[in-house]
Amino acid sequence: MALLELHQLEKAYDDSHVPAVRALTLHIARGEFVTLLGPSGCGKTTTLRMIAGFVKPTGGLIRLDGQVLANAANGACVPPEARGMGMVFQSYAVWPHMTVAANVAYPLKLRRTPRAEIDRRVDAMLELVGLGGFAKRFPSQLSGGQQQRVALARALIAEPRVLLLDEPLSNLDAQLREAMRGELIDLHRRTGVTIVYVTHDQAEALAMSDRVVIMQQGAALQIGTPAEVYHRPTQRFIAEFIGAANMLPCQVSGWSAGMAQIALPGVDAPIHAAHALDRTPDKPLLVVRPEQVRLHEAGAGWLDGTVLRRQFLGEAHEVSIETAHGVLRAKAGAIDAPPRGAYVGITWETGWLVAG
Amino acid sequence: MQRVPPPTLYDSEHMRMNTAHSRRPSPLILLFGLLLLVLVALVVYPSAALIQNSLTVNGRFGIENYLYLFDQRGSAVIWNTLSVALITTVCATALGVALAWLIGRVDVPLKAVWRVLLIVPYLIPPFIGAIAWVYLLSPVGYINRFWMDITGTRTPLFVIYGQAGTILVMTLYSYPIAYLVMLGPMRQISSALEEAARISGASALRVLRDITLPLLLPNMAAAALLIFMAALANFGIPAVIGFPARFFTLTNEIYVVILNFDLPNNLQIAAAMSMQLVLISIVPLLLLQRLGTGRTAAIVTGKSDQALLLDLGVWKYAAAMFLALITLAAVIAPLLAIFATSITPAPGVRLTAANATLTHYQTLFFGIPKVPRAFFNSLMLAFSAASVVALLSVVIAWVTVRTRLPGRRLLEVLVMTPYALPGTVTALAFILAFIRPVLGISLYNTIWLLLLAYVASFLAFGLRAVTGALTNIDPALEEAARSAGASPLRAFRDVVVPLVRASIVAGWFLAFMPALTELTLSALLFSVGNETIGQVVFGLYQEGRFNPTAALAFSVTISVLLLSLLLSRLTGGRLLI
Ligand SMILES: Nc1ncnc2c1ncn2[C@@H]1O[C@H](COP(=O)(O)OP(=O)(O)OP(=O)(O)O)[C@@H](O)[C@H]1O
Ligand SMILES: [Mg+2]
Repeated sequence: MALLELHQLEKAYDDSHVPAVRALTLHIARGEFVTLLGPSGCGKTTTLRMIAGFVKPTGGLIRLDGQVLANAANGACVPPEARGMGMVFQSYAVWPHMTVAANVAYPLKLRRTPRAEIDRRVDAMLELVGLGGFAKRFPSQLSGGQQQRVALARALIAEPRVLLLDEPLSNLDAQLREAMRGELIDLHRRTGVTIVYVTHDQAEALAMSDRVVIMQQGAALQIGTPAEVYHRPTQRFIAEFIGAANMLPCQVSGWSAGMAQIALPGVDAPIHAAHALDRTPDKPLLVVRPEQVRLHEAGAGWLDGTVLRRQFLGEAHEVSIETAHGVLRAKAGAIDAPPRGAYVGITWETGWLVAG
Repeated sequence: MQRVPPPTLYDSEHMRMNTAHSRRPSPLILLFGLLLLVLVALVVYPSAALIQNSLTVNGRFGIENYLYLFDQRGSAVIWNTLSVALITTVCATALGVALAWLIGRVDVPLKAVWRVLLIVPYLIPPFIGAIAWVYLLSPVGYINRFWMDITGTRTPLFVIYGQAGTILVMTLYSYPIAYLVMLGPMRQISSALEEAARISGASALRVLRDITLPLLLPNMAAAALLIFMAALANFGIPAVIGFPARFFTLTNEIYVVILNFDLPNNLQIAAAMSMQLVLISIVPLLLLQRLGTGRTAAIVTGKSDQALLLDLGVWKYAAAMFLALITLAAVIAPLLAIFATSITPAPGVRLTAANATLTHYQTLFFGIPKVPRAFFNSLMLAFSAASVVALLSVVIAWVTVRTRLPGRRLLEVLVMTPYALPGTVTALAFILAFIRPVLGISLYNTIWLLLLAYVASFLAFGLRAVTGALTNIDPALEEAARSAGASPLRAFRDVVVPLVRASIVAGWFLAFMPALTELTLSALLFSVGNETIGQVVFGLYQEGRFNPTAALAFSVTISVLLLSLLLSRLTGGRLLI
């Protein structure tokens, strides 16, 4: 059974007629790591703050462990301090007038935990987030990454039923962000805490989550594992938002063995089949990821094209090829990528169909 | 690319070399010398006269003057002064912080109304507020009469005269200091800091106690010190409310001694008392400066933080009631009391719709010659003082911000000195300095002495406005104009002056408004023919002309409020005095 249930959740701010969040239904299992992913302004923060209790829903229901936290139907709304959750803010929100230890101890102090136990648990928690020995410092004496860990320790110390994180890594530099990503995954595994994570960084979402909720304009477009949303996007928007994608307008000429037969205008050769959820998408679009593209001698592929640009990425090259069907992007080897101006043939391993 | 600036007055590095190697003094040095001369006349010389007189007994050096206060009054006056200042500080700070929290962080009904009303007491001259409260709470004041009517007793509810009344009125007219100091920081605190505490399990009030207030501690301390200094220096409120109960604070004791011509050596004794008051006032000033250098705790804000208002639920109506009570006590009741008194035919007569009269307004402007004279004098004085202040401010700010002259800090200190001194002390220093002709010019008993004292007292207001603006102008803006081909003078004129113009105007008004209704300096430095508005209100009140006083006080208050309203309208709410 789900630990946290959002049912038909809606929030319309007074000063706007379009709801910031609408008809959002999401069930989160105990111990699950769920990420809300979407472009800026799509309602991720609003959703998270409704779960936390800082924003009162204007429609729908939130239930935690069977207990109703908010119900727009009767106006019930449990205040944040009574929800037993932990939260990490984008700005860390570490209290500058308290030491690291006092920051982390604060939730326990409010729960009237005995002094000795507080000390023991704070020490253990600081150890866990890698801040052993920093207890007596003030936040102004810490780096951004260390403040981040203090915020994390403070959110975790009272063993929250749910841990909420709102773009916790966006204020860190790229290297630290990568490191913290790994640490968060480890922390999740070790503590088994249920996590709702908000980000607009798709790489972060794919790397850490058990499930991803793709949001746009307040609605959940697709809910699925990272592999699902990457390889089997339900909509063109998702295919474009997550990872890089080549989009080719095409026709479906038939189906065999659950695969669509694709026809590209002006291409005579029979083209490899593609998968799809929907058998008859409107204005079908073929989605081909750059790493699925294969390059050949000119004339040896389904399409031919000229290399417009070649970028060295370290582990590979990204090649942009001008074809009759638009510019296609392909991943090519770090060493043997075709140079600019080369005339090449193109095929791909498999494709995916979405409505255009 | 190496940029070699052409030699210029504005380039201090070059200027210093220039003065070292040429015999003609540079214009900058001349300017600096001139400024120093002005400030010596305005600050150094009067201060020296004050100190020297305080140590003069019958023409000889002596410290007896310093003992007079204790010989005559024991520690009573010191105790009165300190107790009023301390209790006022505690009450007014607490009140101001609470109001700033309600307005800045809480969702209260009718907020726009409270925001306007809460700063009104800041605009009403405090001694007029005190007079209004006398109308309300003298033994025959409106509140006491109402109380006796409904209870049928003959004993008033509370008589304002004395210590408690002084504290009450001072609190009502000094909380805006704390309110205005706290409002900005209160709203800038990242709400994530508070929400982090809520989600940790703290209730809204617990967050206030554990997070919000501790974060604002430095700001609160600054507010408290400012209020403490203002309370120590206040002359009008204890003069109106303390005198009738023979309750004296130091400023009033000094005033009484200055006017006590029967007392031999009276000015020298008053000088010694002034020095004693200065010694007390220096403590909060030093603390304030110490506070200013220690950086306020960083209040981190991130992009995701929204300044969200706390929802108090049904308690927000209680909050609105509280705000209503405060505005009633500080604004509405006093204004009504003054207005009612001003249209009542005579003291002791009950105001009715039938006997209401405007005769006192008529008397005021046609029957008491010093009233129209005072309006003219105050307008001229305020206008001239503000203009001199604005001019001096621009020049001094420019020297202190844009040059590296070695003595530029001294200018700032000299400007700040009269600002930190209680007005009574400044007035006495000017009396002592100019009672005899200086360089053949006799300023005593002329309006020029008042003008000098006003300029000295209000210069700091103007300077702060202009310095602040000039400091905030990135030198890169000037440099951009320079690389676009403008000469330094041209760059200053085209880029800097337009950018600080608003602040110069602000500085002008910051001096003009308090000068218009100034009481403390005027009460000691006026002479017949040279009355000011504040002095005349106070004078009529002391003469016992009950109803004309009210008519004048009401006219003055309404004028000041309208002027401020106009000002904040004209500047789009940016300038608020
Ligand atoms: N307090 C508020 N009052 C009114 N409108 C709001 C408020 N907070 C958010 N909104 C609006 O609701 C919509 C969703 O905002 P939200 O902050 O949830 O987006 P987000 O997905 O977190 O975006 P970002 O990635 O930029 O943080 C936006 O259009 C925003 O302008
Ligand atoms: Mg957000």
